[in-house]
Amino acid sequence: MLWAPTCEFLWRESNLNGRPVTGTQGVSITPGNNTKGSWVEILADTVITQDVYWIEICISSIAVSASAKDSIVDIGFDPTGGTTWEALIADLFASDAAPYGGSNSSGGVWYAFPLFIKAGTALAARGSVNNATVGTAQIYVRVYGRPSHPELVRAGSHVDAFGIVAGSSRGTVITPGTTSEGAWTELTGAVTTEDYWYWQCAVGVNDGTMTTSPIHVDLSAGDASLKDVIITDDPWFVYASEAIGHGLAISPQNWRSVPAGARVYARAQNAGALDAAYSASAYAVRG
Amino acid sequence: MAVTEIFSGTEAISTTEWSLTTDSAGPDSEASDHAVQVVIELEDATYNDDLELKMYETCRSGGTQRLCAKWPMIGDQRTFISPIFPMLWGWDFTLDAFVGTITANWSIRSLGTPTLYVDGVETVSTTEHSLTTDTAGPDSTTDDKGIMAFLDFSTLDDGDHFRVKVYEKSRSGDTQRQVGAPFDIKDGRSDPMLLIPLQAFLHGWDITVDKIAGTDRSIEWSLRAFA
Repeated sequence: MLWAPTCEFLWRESNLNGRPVTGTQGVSITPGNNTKGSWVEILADTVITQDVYWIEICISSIAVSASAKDSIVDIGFDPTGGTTWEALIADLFASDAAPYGGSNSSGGVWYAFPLFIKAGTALAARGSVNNATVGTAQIYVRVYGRPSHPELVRAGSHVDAFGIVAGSSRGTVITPGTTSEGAWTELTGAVTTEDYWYWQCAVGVNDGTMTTSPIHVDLSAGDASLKDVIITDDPWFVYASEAIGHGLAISPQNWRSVPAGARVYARAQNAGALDAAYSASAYAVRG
Repeated sequence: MAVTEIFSGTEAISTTEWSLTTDSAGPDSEASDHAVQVVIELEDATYNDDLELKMYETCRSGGTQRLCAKWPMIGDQRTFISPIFPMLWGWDFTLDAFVGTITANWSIRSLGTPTLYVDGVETVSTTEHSLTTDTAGPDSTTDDKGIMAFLDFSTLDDGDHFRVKVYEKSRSGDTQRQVGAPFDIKDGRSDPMLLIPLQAFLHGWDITVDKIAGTDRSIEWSLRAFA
């Protein structure tokens, strides 16, 4: 075995100031109806005083009872600290994202990425909802830096999304299994052209009448006949209040090197009876 | 491999950045050739203390000294030991405290004398450039070397995106393959020197740099050999 030092992140910031707020954690954005709304700054350049190596994003409070609200959110950046936004992480799937806290919640929909963002950068968010009554979304972001052993930390330069159908603010349609796993469904549509090494996956439901049930998502890379499973049983929680939650599930299985030339697949398995219109997406870090 | 202590000292570190090679305000510029490891005893550090070890080096002889890496340390500390780095031309390690005054005892050890294998400078565009032959790459070098690479990306600005790849053959008769995932450098950075860890090269190796997006930039490099 190899002796290795520990690595701690000795700096962190977020857009939470003070007491946590039920249901409205972070900065409010107004999505467009199947088009991206306006950028809203979520973390100022004056707050990001150190180089960032890790980012966590919580999207919450999109859900409305009896409404189907598939949704996607972009995280944008301006490395000069201004307001000329460019997508840093595009199309995070946050279908019917639950409120932050309260019953039937799971605290919204969380993502986490090992991504390098230089000090002095400003961050923003914008969104798109597949519902004429767009409502709002809350974006809570946390960033981490000052690794005590930077030689042990790899932080990527880009995050690519797979499976997104932007015109419907959703992922690629899948049919979850119930008593067994659902079928693998390709998200990429073509072989990848980059080497990726860190992964997240997502599932959504576009249904105005949902059934409370956990749903587990698997992610794999390979081809039509052979697949390497990257993530198994990523837990998402669907609630009868037409809300979906996904906790901050940082897991060792998120790290997997997949050289260029692969196709990416998702499948899911639901605990109860199926709702309508499931779709899935994936996110991979490169660089 | 003989290990020798080449610098040592003790100092109450406060808000003045302190050179561990000259035991004075730093950074300074040490030009002796050593494979260096730094040991720092910080038994004096306590809760809420905040200090940082920084490593500096020039990429090429006569070049500008750049920040290579930072190791922050907050609160109560065990003794710190750095990885081993081949230093040649204008290097230093410094300590700087942001909170507290912390007495540090340090020792810089040499594990031998590294040598320059090859260096260069190139205005890199969208043609992948070999650092071993200073031409379009990758090429296939068969020199048997333990190499650590230094690349200076201080010319990058926001919107620039460059990519570094490593290649090698497993056996002499095998096909050259890319080693691991490429490493991308995007936008301007406060620590612009990229250090690629020591690798034992034999059969058909190269390190390349390529522009993915942005402006063509002048990139300097040096490949340092341990053996």
